[in-house]
Amino acid sequence: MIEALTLAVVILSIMMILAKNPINSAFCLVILMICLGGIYAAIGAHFVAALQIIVYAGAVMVLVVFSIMLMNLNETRSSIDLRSPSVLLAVGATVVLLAILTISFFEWQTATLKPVSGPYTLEAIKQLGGNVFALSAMMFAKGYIQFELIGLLLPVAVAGALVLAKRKVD
Amino acid sequence: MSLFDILAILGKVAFVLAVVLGSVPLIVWFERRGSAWIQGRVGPNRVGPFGLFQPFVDVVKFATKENFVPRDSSKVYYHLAPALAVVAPLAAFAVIPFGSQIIVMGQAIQLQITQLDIGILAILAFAGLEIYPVMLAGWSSNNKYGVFGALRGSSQMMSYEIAFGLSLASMLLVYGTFDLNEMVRYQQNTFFGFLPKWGILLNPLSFLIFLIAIFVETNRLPFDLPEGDSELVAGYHIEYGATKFMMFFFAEYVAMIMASSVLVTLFLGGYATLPGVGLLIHTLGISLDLTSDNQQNLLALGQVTSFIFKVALIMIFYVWVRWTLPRFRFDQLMNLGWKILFPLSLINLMFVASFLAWIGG
Repeated sequence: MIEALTLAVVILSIMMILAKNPINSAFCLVILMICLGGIYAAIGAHFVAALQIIVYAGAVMVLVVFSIMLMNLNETRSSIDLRSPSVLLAVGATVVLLAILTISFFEWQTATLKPVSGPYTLEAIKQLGGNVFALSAMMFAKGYIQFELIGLLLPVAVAGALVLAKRKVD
Repeated sequence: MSLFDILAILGKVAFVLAVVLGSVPLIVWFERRGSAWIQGRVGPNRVGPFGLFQPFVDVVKFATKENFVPRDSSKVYYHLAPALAVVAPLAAFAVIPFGSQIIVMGQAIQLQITQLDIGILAILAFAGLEIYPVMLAGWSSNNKYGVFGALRGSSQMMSYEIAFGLSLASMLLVYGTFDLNEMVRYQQNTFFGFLPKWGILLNPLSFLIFLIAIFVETNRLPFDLPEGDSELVAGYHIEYGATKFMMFFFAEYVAMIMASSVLVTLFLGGYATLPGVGLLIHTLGISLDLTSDNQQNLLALGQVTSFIFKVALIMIFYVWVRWTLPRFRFDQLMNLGWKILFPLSLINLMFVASFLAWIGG
């Protein structure tokens, strides 16, 4: 199940980058988000899976699709100039990345992987009464100051968006 | 997983699908007869007794119509939209409990397709996906009215999701769980021994906000601006005909049933038996001299009937409101959403949270 979903995520992300039509690209991303939610659900993290779908597929991507539809973006026919410096840079970066991946692949073959065990093993979560309880205990008991600070960021973002939007109107 | 478990799950899925999809023609019939009754007309009364077979004739009519596709439409999204419209609300039924449990051959079967500890969040996830068919249908059919309908639909659904979510959050505080089954179990308690501890009595303001929000989310009158016939002809599904239009039509009613089921589960006691039914089942069980297993099955029957009865009441309310109130203007709709319901639900949430902190629960 996870293997199929992972394959789908890889294929969808490639399709998203290669799609000429921005709507196709956006919908690849929507399905990709749902597949990511599926991966989380398959490893038993139902809470994160639901949040993934609610926040990304249900809210963020709706805004993205909405703005693409409003601006009526059409297919872009870009002509790539193979001699431009950005293409050369991209090719160089790809070669370096592939080299790193190959090296790390062979390293991984020889080295033995040690699992890093945190405090939240499957048994510990079950003892706390499920994912939701473990997360809320963490958020509202241990890290409540950090949580409140992140909450403070939201009004700041809203105020910033208002200022930016108002400048355009005036 | 044994064969019994697989059969039990398949049976539950078949039961829920049969009840939900089977009740749509009945609701359509009730909508047409009810509207006629409210407006002093006769309504469809020719096909079958009381015109009951009218919806089936309508299905045949839709199926035999010309199946056209607009020339300049985006074909994939044009065909995807009606399918998505039906699938998203149907999938959400998977977590709604419609009874406690039945006992078959000594094994208990939970009357809920799947029991997740995130319960209500799964419903929110599927409800969030319900915007896509509206946007897709309006945009892909390449029609100006369609795009206007899609824009209206998605903006009103997004705006009211805030009030919807906040009123839900206040109920989550009251119940202290995401699990819909536990919410129903909580509501089976009583105040002073006779008044059921339903969500509507615990938090009436939240119920009101939730009720208004689900009218907007399902695009029903008085908030049916995305398809407002006098302004946009048919809104986002203007370019759809034949079976594809029928799927949108079907999806509207499936979404209504889904929203009513969530409302009933959160505020009207879910499958908790109606007052009096519990006593009836108890005396019936004793007088028929049933085994404890069969008593449980009889109780489950009462619970499923009570649940369907409550959902049916909300559906009747939907029809009643549709043919009574006129349509809102778009600025009125946005004012109601952002300037009244949003602050009201926020204040309600604060009040519930401080009250719960005060009584220490």
